[in-house]
Amino acid sequence: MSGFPGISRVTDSMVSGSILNSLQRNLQQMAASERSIATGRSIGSLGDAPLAARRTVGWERLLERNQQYGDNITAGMSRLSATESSLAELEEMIVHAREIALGQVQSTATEGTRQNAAVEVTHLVEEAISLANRQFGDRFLFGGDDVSQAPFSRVGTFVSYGGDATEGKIEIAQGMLFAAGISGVRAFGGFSASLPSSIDLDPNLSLDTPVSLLNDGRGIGLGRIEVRDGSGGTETIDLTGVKTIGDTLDRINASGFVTAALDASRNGISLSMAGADLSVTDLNGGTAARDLGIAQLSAGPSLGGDDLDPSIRPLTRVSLLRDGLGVDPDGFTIQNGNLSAGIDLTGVETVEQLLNAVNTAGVGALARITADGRRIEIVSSLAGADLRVIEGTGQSGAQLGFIIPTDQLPLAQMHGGFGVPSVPGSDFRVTAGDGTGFDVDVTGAITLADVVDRINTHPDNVGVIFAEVVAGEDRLRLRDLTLGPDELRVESRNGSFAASGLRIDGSSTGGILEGEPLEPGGIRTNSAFDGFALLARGLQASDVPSIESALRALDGAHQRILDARAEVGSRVRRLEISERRNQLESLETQEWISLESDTDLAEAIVKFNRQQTLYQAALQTSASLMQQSILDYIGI
Amino acid sequence: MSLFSSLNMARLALGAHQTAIQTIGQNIANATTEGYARQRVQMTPTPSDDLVFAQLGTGVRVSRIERIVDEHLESTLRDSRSDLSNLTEQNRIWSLTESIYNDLGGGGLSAAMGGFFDAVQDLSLNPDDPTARALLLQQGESLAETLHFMDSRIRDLRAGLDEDLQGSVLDVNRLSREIAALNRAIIAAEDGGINRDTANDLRTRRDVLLGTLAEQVDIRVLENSTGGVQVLAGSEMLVFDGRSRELTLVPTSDGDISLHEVRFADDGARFQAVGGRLDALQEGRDALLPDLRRELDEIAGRMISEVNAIHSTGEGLTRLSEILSGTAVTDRNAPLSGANLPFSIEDGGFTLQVVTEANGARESFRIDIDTAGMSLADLAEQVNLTAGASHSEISAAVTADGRLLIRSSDPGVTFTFRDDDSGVLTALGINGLFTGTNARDIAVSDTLLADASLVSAGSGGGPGDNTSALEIAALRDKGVFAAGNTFEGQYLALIGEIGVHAAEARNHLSNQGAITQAIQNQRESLSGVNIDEEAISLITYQRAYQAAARFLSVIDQLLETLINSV
Repeated sequence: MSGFPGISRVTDSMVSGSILNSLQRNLQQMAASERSIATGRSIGSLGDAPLAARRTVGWERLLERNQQYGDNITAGMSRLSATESSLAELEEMIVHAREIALGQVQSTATEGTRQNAAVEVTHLVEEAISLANRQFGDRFLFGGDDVSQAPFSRVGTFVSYGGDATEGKIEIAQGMLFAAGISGVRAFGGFSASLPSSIDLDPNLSLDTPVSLLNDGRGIGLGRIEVRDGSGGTETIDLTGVKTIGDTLDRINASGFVTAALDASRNGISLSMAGADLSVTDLNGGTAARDLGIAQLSAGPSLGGDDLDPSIRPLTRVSLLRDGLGVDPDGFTIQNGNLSAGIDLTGVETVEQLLNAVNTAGVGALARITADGRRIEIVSSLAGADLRVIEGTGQSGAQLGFIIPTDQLPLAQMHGGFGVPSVPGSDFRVTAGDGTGFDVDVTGAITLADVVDRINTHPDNVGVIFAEVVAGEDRLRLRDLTLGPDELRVESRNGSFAASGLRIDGSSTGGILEGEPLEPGGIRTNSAFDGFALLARGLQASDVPSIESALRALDGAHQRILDARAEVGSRVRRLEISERRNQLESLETQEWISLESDTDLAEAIVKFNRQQTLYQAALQTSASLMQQSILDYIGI
Repeated sequence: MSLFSSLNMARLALGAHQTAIQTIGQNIANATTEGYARQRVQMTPTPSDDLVFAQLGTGVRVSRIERIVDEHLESTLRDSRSDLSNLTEQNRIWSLTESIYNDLGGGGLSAAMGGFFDAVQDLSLNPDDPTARALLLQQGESLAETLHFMDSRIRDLRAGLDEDLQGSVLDVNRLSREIAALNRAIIAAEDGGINRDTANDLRTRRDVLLGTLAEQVDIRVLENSTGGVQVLAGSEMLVFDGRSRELTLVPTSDGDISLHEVRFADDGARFQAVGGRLDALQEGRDALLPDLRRELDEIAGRMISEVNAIHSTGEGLTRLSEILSGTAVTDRNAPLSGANLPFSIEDGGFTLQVVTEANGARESFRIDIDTAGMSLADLAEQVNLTAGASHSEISAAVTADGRLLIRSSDPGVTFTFRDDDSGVLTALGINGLFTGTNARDIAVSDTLLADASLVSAGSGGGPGDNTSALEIAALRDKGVFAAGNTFEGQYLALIGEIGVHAAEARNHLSNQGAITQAIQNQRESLSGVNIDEEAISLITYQRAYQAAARFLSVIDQLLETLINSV
């Protein structure tokens, strides 16, 4: 009950009003305390503690998010552990297949034992397919994003991969995406290496080319540019918001200051203004002019921009490729194992249509634009087969980079697609007729031309040996320049298979060693299935070199599996770390919420008791105060 | 000088003290009457007889019954009561508002948004899982329902304030009329100002009514020389002497809600209260709540446009065979820039991808959008000229009600959208997750509810593709609002602001309550009745009356003596 400061005359209604007020206030405080105790929360409404309320709500949402991330992490963990167990089983199978191959490559093996082993390998293939098609829940683990159908299937003696190379990402913390799967490509070699296309298809600009594709897909930084005519005239042009080359030209031409046009010969933009000495600069730290290749000073009346190198997109017209030369329409043929399809490019206008033509041909070939946007590549999804492209009547295969001259072929494609294995150190030794010789190391050589180079430019090869690729015959030829009496010999070193891979192991008299045809195969998946298929074929035919090449394929597959398992291991560890951090964060958040908004029961109850006492005291004093009146003391 | 004049003196004294006792009776009777000002009898000696050598007193008379009031204090109290009732109303509105944003304790919009984004995350874990899809749609509906609920609560609150406002206006009219009537009565009772300040009880009644009126609207009171008052609200006259100006309620509407405008009945001028309850009601109804609704609409609109922008160019487990735009244009031949589309569009375009289901081949067609030079009919034509020319199954048309319809006549040929840098798909409401444009009409697309496989979790990579879901999930952390706020940030800022205002209103009210109480106490101290004081005065007057009666009896004895001696 408050007094009446500064007031001398006190009336009855003042007293009763004041008592009522005080009691009311006491009751309100008690009700608030009671609510806080009953609900366990110190904040009843937003207005009680606006900042704390806002923080609490934010933290509660954070807590829920963290729980969701926790769920995501758990899902990722269980998916990865299912993946890991499948990979471990597959590794065992590969090791077992290797043992079979090693056993059957020995001279003690007979045709009979090999036939029996072939049957075992066929069973292995079936088991491996069912393993690769393992499901986790309703999801196929190894199909990439294609989770609803079995990714691996048998096509004749081949095994086809129908999935893709994606590895389902999940969010494990705010903004942190994490690949929680291993694709069939990484684990099983679902796709081959790409059919090498070293050719930059260099598409020309067109008006509808999006500016985001320029400069190899890096795009341009849009901003304002300044154009000066060299005699005091200046124009500022705002290029923000332009989407295509056409937009850009329109924007520049709309200024009416300078004329901009597409310059096909430069594959860029050129500006012109009669009699001027043009300069273009970026304003405010922008990069538009630089990125458009027109940031030049004193370029004269016409300013020719740089090549803008647009990258390829599905809608890029085929006629713009190869610097505007286009591609011959006759097409090419794709052979993959015993499958074959002619790809006719007549009427194909866009890159997308070209890709569709290959991808729908049904030969286990997958065409796509490379990540750098410069090339188109083809990969094979058919294990056990090798894919090659054969030219039609024109040059389109070569133009697109699918067909390469023999000496430019990668070694990896030699010998039916098994490549030329090399070992650390020297791979073979070449000895000329006069006894001089030198060791050749092919490690790091990519093409046949590289190998020829290594032989011909060897420091010890001074007038000893001349190596060349025999034109049109896909084989190497070594010439003995010493004309010595002995044989020209090539011998393996360090147990390397390089010389046999290059088909030049052996010796010859007469100064010339003709290599065997290298049979540059197409591209193979080099996967476990590839190895199994080759092994089965080699065992059935009782062909030792085939079994040996199968062995090499299996080695590659084994390495791949080991890599994939290591990857799974490291991902699981990352998930575990994330999980711990997630739990820690949840705990901390909970603590914050508790600190901010939970009722301190002891304090609240003490407070409530005090308020109760106050209320009782107020009631008692009020009651006695209101009983007082002068009328009790005077007799009227 | 005579004994008779002494008798007269006694009569005057008896009468005067009886008046005084009667006045005390009146004070005691009204001790608890609200707004009553105690009255005091002023007595003056009657003119004395001039005896040349001396002046002889002739008695007493009641010169005036005075009402103890301080007009300045009354006016201060009125202002203070205006403020108090204004703040009381503000506080009431804020606490009602506060209760709409019930995020404390785990509910509310922030939880609904969180639930939606969590469901998107769940979908990203299992994009091919029908349950995850159904759950996402359910969470989307729950988000929409939360927005509807909040929107309708704000609308209901606004309608409630309008009703309160109507009551308040009726009160103002009634009070104005009564004050005008009292003005007339006071002018008459005080003889047009000749006997000013005598109509005590009428004046007390008028002060009470003025105080009540001040609670509704802040007023200024000016007393005329005649004893009447004029009442001004702001610069507008409400009462002048015996006349009052009536306010009327003119029905109007704002969107989906019918409201009432307050105008003067005579000249139709709009009446905007300053201070008082009416002001708080008008402020809450016309500024605060519409603002809150706009904020909610902005959150809903952003949610729709941002989610749809991703969803429209994504792809579900099945692709589209037919799509009808959600937004209709009034004129199919008018440029899109002038079509009043709910979300902004710009020059650019989108890609229409036609998929041959048999072999999975995809063919893309770029549809360029020139907002100023292209109508919806042109857009349909462009689809027909590009995609339709290569794939006769695909056709586009504008329906009779102004919507874009793209369809495929062959279930083996489907289509999907990509790379919309014009915003036209979102603006037209094509293949969105949500339909609608604001908190009132946001809803999950019926098409998706009928076939959850159409939910765009991916972008064409296959059933396990979750790129679109991840993109939508990432919206949670995207600064989509002007200040770089995320959805949650924007909303938390909003509830933070509401909390601050609510707390402020509460504090202001409590302060103003104390201030008003203090002024009220001062007024009571001056004008209120103290029973003890009245009791003492009563004894005083009683004694004086007794003494006067004894004086009368003495004079009577003197007269008797005189008469008996004659």
